[in-house]
Amino acid sequence: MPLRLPKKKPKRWGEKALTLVVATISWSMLIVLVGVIGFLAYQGGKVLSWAFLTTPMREGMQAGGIAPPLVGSLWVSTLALLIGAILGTATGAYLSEFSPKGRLHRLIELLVNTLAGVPSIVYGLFGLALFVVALGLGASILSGALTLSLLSLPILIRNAQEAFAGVSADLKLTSLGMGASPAQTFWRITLRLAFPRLITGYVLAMGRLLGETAPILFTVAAYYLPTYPRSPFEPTMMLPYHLYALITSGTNITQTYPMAFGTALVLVSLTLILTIAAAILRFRLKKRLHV
Amino acid sequence: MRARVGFLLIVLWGCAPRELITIKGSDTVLPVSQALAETYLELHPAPLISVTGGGSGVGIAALLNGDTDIAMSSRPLKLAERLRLTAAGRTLVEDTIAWDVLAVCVHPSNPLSHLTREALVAIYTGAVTNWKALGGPDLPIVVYSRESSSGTFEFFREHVLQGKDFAPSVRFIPATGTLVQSIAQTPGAIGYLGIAYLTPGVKPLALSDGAHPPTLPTKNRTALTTYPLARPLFYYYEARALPRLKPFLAFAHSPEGQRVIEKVGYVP
Amino acid sequence: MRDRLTIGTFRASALTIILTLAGILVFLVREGIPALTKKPFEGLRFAVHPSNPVQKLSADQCRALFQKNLAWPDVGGPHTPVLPIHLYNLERYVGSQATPEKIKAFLDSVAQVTGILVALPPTWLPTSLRPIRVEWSAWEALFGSTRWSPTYEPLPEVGLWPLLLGSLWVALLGLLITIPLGVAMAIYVAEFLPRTLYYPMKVLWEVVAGLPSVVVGFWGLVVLVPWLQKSFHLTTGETALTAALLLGWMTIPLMASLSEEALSNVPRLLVEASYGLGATPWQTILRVKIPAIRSSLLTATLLSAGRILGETMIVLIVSGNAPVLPTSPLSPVRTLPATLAAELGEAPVGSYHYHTLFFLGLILFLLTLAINILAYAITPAEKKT
Repeated sequence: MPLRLPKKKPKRWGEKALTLVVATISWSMLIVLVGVIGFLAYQGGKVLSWAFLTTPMREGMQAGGIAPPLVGSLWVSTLALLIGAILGTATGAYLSEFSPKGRLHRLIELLVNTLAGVPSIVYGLFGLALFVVALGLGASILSGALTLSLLSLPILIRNAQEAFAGVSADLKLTSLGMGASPAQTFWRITLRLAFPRLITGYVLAMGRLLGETAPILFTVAAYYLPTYPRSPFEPTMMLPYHLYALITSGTNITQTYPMAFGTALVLVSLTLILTIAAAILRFRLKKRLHV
Repeated sequence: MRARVGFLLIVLWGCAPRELITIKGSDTVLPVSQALAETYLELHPAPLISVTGGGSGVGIAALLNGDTDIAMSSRPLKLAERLRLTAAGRTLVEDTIAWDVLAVCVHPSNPLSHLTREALVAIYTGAVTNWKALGGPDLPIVVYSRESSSGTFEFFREHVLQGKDFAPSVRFIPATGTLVQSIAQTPGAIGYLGIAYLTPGVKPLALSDGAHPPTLPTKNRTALTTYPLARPLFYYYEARALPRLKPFLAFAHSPEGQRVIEKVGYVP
Repeated sequence: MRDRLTIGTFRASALTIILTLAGILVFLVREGIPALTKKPFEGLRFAVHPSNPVQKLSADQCRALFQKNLAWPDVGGPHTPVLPIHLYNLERYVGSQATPEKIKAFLDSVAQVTGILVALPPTWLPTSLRPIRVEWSAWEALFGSTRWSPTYEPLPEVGLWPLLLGSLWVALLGLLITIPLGVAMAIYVAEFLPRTLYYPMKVLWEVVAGLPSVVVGFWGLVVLVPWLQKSFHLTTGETALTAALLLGWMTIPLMASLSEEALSNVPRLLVEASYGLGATPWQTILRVKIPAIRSSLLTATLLSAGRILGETMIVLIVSGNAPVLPTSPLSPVRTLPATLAAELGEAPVGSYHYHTLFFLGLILFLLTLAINILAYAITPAEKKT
């Protein structure tokens, strides 16, 4: 918590002015956000309907719905999250609970930080070279999910690390003191207590994954494939790519705009819901754990 | 635990590869393929058709790699590609699926109504940068082009520029839709696009091939002979894949298929 | 026993991190280095008429001759017009359906022309022509050229500078927005925001940072681009500035949250001392706190720069996509990630273009790597005080 001195109202107008400036700047961010989402909601709301979400596109993507990309995105992102969550949580557990804090530990932490800064398109290139070409998986749900999972690893590892470290050390020590092994302590105490915090991180990561475009361009996305995927070795339509395709391809751009707005609205809504849900979860947790 | 096993079984059951026809390639032919696939799938739900863009070069490369069944292309196979194929002992079938007419367009406020090929070359190689040099208003020319992967790009470079290269200030737009949008929003703009992408928001120019007077791009089959920038659109596929692709291809060539093509905006 | 299994599995998971980073490096290098070692015209031979005194040409000269931007006398050749014949323009002469016999016949006939310049596979090369050397320096082509035209066969122009400078330009412009606004917000939240609104504000930041970039780019295309065009009477609203505005805005939360964290952690001693000496809140902020978090601010700036440099979709949609050296904020630009996204799908695997793109990816990777390492090298210095 930052140091807060008794609130003395700034007497000089210079102080007041500066405060007003930074306040305006800060709240303007909210206004811009509302403007962006409001605009999308207004335009996208014109096409939004249950049919929009559950039927495929028609008439050269000028009508109908976005069910295939929606389902495709959910499939790929869920699979990616699954892979990333398992790997990321395990790595986070290792770093937080089991690793001797030596050179290897520092190396891995450095690498996690490094990977966090790698641009998503570079992950896309890596995914193309490794999964699509070298491993021969081709453009498929599997390739896309694997690429996305790598992208999400740094976030999930950090999230898991913090979650496990946040479990009271006293509890862990008590467990060890009572004769449990470190692994037992982990599975029965640490993991269970950290679970809500972990879930929060997963929800947040899912929100990010759904919106990623660059990694899926070459690894999974198809322009038109109007059914639902039946196997992880098939390509599929994806929401972010579909939006990009709608605003750049197609013979009648202005006709497809309504659909584009609808797609943008759905995409942004999903992201918003997940981000806010994660925030609320974390808030509730903080309230519960803070005495 | 049981739930996990059940989930795994469902996943494995779904893993049987489905009967799928992949069409990949030119973004110009993309709307045609998408519309054909959509209509065809309404009548025959199987096999499934997947359409992906990326440019004529991508499609042909994918066909050579075995990653797609049909390569759609807005340009004929390059001699280099053809030679590579014969060296590999593969025979490709070249199927003209429709015709495309390339329209050179400007913003509706531009007073010019036709351009010579030399003027176009000057504009696209950067020799002329202001409309007033061509008798137009005093406005900088904003030049748009397709991305270098596009068959449309190759066609334009080959047939209009005839070997010269684009000026670096030319804006290379990854997809035609954005290109049209940009021209419609920019008073000094000029760009080329397939006639299917023509909207009232842009103004096509009349072009001459030297032998005939300048004509506007049109969807009329007979007018194709007088307009200089008309080109066939192709489906390429391996001869031995024909039995599998036959139903879809037959549909594409049928009167109904041709009607779909016309509706999309191309010339059947 | 279960212990060992658990720890072992977890350690193995941790090793995937090492594998991933190593893998990225390996693949980028493996696919990118051929851009330096291979020549784009491998498999082709260049030749001229035996009467032509020219023995060798630089790649630029050869290309200029092909495009008829240079004439033979300019390079020491005879006073005859250039007749360029290569694999990619043969069709203009023999049609795309020509049989090998027809091609051979055509080549034999055209080999008589004194001004001829050919680039053909050795099997097609008419024996009467004399081969010449065309010098291709990969280093020069990549770093010495300012043109990016990677599909011009057989001598593509692969100058990286327009792309690299385009990226840096957008990042610079974007930071001009991110830094002041981000720090301002950090100050507000750390010092003046009522505590009950602290959490909602942070959520707001997370929401903005989590917006899909393709959606922001779309909004920029339909709202910002036309607005900029009309308001400033531009020829087009698709500029580096447009991309920078959007990117800068999206990166503000990153800058703000890192700065806010640093501000909140300024040692109490310093703050108390400042107030004790009679300084007002703003005097304290500007003269004590901000200087105290200098290196954190630098770290935050570097990380924000890295984020902007790596962004793909927004730039692809609104920045104009012209690979030129940027001259003003209103120039169109082409950045490294946008080039990768736009061109990778089209480059046949294994082609020179493909390798060049991976080389671009390597540069981008090393650039962001350097920035991130620098950022983390700076941070501990401050935590020690």
